Amino acid sequence: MTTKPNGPPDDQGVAWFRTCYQQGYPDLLRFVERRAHPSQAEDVVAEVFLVAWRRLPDLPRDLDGARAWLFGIAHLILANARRGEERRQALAVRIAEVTTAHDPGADPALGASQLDLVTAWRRLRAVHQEALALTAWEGLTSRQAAAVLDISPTAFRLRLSRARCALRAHSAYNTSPAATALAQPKPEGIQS
Amino acid sequence: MTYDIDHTLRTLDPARHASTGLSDRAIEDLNRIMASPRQEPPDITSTPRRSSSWRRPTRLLPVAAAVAGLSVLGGSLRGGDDSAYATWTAQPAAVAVDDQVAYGQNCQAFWDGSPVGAAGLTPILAERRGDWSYTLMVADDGRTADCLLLDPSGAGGDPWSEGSGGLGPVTSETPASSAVKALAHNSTGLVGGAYVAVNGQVGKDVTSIVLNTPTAGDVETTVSNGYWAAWWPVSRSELDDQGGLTLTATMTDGSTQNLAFDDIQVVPADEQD
Repeated sequence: MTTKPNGPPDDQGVAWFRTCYQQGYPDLLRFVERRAHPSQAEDVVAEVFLVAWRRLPDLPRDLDGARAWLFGIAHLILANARRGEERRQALAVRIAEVTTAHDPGADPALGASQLDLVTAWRRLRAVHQEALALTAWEGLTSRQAAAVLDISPTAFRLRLSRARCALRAHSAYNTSPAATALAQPKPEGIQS
Repeated sequence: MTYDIDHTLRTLDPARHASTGLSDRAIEDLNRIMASPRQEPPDITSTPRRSSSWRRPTRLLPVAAAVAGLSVLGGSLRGGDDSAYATWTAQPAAVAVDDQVAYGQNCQAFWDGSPVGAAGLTPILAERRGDWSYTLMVADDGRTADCLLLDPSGAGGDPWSEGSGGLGPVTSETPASSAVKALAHNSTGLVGGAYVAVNGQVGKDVTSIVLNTPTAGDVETTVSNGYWAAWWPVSRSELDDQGGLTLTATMTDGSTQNLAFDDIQVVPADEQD
């Protein structure tokens, strides 16, 4: 049996942790709120940072990398909070509600597309919601998103492409030609 | 009608509140986190002789904490005893049949995610000590695998947070009626502490076994379905002092045997001379 000796964190590490906490907390809270009940979000975020504190040497030394790393911990905590077979399934991601109340300043076209997209989103499999949320709302690169999901970047890009196709397929309206062209799956033949 | 799907999706973020600062709760949590012990995660252990252990891999972290388990992760954030095994008892608590099923399912799920897998492993023994559930599983080829899972709710079916497990050697021999065999002696460290778990086989005339441990005193085992098992917490400094384990086995006729663990430990066929 071997153990690593405990040691006090160096001043730079402590300062960096504090910086990551202050800069990363709001984004991490939003990440959790998109996937868990809002009443649990602050508890989960605290748990993520506790793990990060105890794994301080592994905390990436750039804010972008640290942010993605923290998302990965949060994803794991949320996934492991479920039991049995559910633990290995994707996390469903919520989508904003669209109000139908009359708003004189609202763009009716946007409102209609939002309603359509909300309906389409709820028909998606959780694995596709996950892929879309990580890019559209968390703003992660394919490599970062792949790390959060513990899959290869290639597999993530394929999964994202399929997610976009599925979202379009469930939509009542046609998407713009540009969006359609960008989302054509690449013929890589790799299973995600 | 067409619309830009990406643009529209970005307007539908369910968490699009614009907060950029830290709430009072966030500041409070930061202070508590930074005041808590910053323990480095322990290495995954190789147990002494003929056994191997495995901690559920979590990719980025040594333990996976359920949301419900926040209050028991080292106790650092919410105060209280820092030992992960503060609730342990030398005498195991009986587990209801329904809970045994749940414990077994959790243990199979635990090993299912491991490089070893859970194929062929069937739960045959379950016990509870404090907040921890322990399950021993056996395969047809004699392989054993155990799980120690944190289960503060006591229901067995709730999500567990920390877990660790050990493998025993393959053996197909059935013990004689009054015999006691030792199969595995696993030690593992988790955030907040370490523990030793032992298990073995018994003949049909053995009714109970009490371990005489080097550091935790007398520990009563669970005997069930021809197997016995127990575990006890240790400090990291005590991990190297776990040799010399002895046990007292009681028979159906009231007689007892005093045995040394090392003398009754099974030697796998591939390690025999």
